[in-house]
Amino acid sequence: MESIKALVQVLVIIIVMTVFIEMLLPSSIMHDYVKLVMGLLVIVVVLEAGATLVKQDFKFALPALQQNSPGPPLATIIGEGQRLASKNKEQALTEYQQGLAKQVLALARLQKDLNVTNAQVKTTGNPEDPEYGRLAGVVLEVSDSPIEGGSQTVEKVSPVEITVGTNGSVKDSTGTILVNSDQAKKLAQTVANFYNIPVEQVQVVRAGQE
Amino acid sequence: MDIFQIVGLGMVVCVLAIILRHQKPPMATLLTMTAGIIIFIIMLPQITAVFSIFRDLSSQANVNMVYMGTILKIVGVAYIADFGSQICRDAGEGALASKIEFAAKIIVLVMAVPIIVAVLQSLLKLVP
Repeated sequence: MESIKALVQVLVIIIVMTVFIEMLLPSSIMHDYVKLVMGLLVIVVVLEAGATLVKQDFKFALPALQQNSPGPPLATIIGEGQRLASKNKEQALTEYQQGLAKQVLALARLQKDLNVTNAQVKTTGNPEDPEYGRLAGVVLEVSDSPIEGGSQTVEKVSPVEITVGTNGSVKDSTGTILVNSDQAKKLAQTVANFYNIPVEQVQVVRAGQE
Repeated sequence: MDIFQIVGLGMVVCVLAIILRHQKPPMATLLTMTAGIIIFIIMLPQITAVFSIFRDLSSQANVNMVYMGTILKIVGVAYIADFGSQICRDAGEGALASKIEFAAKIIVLVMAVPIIVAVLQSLLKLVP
């Protein structure tokens, strides 16, 4: 009953409004044209108002006049989209690496035995790889200078005389001098456990050698 | 009241135009044109008030404002075209007046295209 009442109210308003607008129209040859358009408008409005009774939606999106100018070909659009996506991926990976390096550095500095000056992280860099962005290695740089409140510094050991398995420093396959003291092993173990990676992927090197 | 001013202006301009038409016909045309523009400007605030009332009514009746705006624009186009064509006819340029009316008709039909499409879609949706 309420819906019928609302429909009748709407129809009364529309009809009264239409009559008044017709009175406004100029009495020329344009009169018929404007009257035609107003008749169409009344049909649309009445259908929309009546649609609420039959629970249908007659409110359409108004069609815009289409321009005939040809747009760029689909392949170009797709190519641009892929280029943009890869650029965004690279940017996201760089920001992720920077954030992770800061985290690692903060974690490493929690211990007071070694003066950790810098941290670098390595991630899997192939975008096609399903494990793209996974943490693949951590390099911690330690300095010889003592830290405030620390108990000791890194021992200066001649790199050529160190063998694997002993405390001190060793040279890896790339020639980087690895710090191999107990404190360095402990630090590497902590970082490896925190990020759930093998301890071999965490390297502690002397600052300026990486 | 405005109507006295408008009628008085019309009468004065009419007499002047009759006098001028015999001596300088172009001046008579310019005079009537100016008078028409002045009357149009005088009535403009009242037309605006009427249009704002129509907008309120249409919002009460849940009429899409795009439709209402289109209708008001069409009324405006009709008035302006009528105004221009009457001036041309008064100046003896019946052909030009017809062209103005032709352009106004096309513009009105183009503006009515969204409403026509909406009617067609409504009718098609009603068909089971």
